[in-house]
Amino acid sequence: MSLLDQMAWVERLVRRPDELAAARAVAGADGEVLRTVDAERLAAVHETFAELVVGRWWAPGFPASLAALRCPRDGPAGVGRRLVREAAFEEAVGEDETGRALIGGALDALEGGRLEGPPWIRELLAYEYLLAVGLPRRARGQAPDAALEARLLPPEAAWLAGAPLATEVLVCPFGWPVAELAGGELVEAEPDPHDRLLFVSGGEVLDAAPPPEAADALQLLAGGADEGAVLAALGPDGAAAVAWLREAGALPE
Amino acid sequence: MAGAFERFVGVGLGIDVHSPAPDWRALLGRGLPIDFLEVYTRGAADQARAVRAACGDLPLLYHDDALDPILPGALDDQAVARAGENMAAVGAPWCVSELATRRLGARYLDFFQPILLTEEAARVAAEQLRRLNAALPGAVVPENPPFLLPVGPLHVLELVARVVDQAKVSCVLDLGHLLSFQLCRGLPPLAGVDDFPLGAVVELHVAGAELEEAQGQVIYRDTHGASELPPTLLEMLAEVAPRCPNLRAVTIEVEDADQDRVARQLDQTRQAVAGLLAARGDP
Repeated sequence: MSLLDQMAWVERLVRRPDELAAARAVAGADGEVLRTVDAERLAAVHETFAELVVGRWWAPGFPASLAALRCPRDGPAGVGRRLVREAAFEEAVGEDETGRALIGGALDALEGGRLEGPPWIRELLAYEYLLAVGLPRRARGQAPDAALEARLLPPEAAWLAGAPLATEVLVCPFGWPVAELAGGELVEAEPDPHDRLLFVSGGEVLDAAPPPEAADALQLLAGGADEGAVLAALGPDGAAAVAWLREAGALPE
Repeated sequence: MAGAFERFVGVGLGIDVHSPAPDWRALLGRGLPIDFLEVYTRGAADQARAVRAACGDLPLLYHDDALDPILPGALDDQAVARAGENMAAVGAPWCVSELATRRLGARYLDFFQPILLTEEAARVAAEQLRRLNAALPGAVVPENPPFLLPVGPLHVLELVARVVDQAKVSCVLDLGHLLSFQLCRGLPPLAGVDDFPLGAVVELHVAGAELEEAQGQVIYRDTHGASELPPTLLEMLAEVAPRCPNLRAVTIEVEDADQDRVARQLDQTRQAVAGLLAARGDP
């Protein structure tokens, strides 16, 4: 084992203090170094580290998701400690700028029973991800984590772009009232299937629940149809949808 | 060691040019007794040049965070080039580099991992510092890092003494970081200082901090300007500074402080080293 291996062990132990016994069992001079780790100190540092990560990396963009998750054994307080243990944590870019560590870790932990959440937790994670990471990255010209989005977003989610749209627009179906859940307005939610339109305009992330025909109108427009064709296809509701899209900023004035 | 720093310059401020607070330009305009600035740019040489241009004759130092002297292997040529460019831009006679890293292989950790407290780690750091000093226009002086979880048999002062001796370099003693280590080991604030080669210390650091408790352990949060200076730090400074015969600078790291806190911390720190300032010829 090299000096770097010893350092990697220490970094790993701060996230996974339950592996201290394995570290102490390492043979030779390297084991002697690792056996100097104080178990009580390590437990405290693990807790502090998880709090730092949650506070610095995730709390600003994912407050509702973090509040809704819980650890089967330790409840809400154990969520951060669980997430820094997950393998996805090692894939963080910077301060988890792509969301890989949080979203990947949360999905892995939910699927593995290491975290629990209400039935709408995946949708809330997706919604907060789009507002905090997915769309802002696009606005800055940074590539999103395509594999993460493919795992997180429903297969029906569609990124629409091209003339005459003013910008790339995501039409994403949700089964729960995610905007209200993200705003902390609901304690118990009822299913609420609806589409949401999310896009960046003027450097701001815009999010709205459009009238039902707006998504169809967008699909037609992104497919090359002009507004006349939209009106012909959707009738009077199509005109209202186009007007709504224009007011929302998805279509140019 | 060149220019103003050939003697004890006094008490200065460590600033992060990317931090909105404190506004270092506004600080300079307040007429505070700032003897120098230590500039932290995260490698942005244009920012270093901007500070130099705005500071007139005020002496400047440079604090790097990417040289990673504790990592074995080839130096990061880009990081070395950036450090050299920044040092030249501010005219710094030395560059401060903590014995810590934010990199582990290809991973960027975001949080500092301090040096392991082992003979091997000291040897590697000394070797890398020698190579850095050969590659840069001025000296790289190692700084003892903050600790939450010290790993290895050595006391941090024993480790720094070995690095200083093997690399033939001066050093920065960060008193808050030292306190963080002592708290981890349950030691008095100045344990080990009597046996440390204080003649190697050219710069002392202090900064605001919070002492918190987690699972029965004291956690030293090195929050810099976001907190007040712990009284223990000022006591340590008053005790240690006069015992450093080659001391050139006392730096208060103030990023995230408001202007009034900066003024207050300057006053507190200057009081702690009033004897040295008086010997320099100050009132």
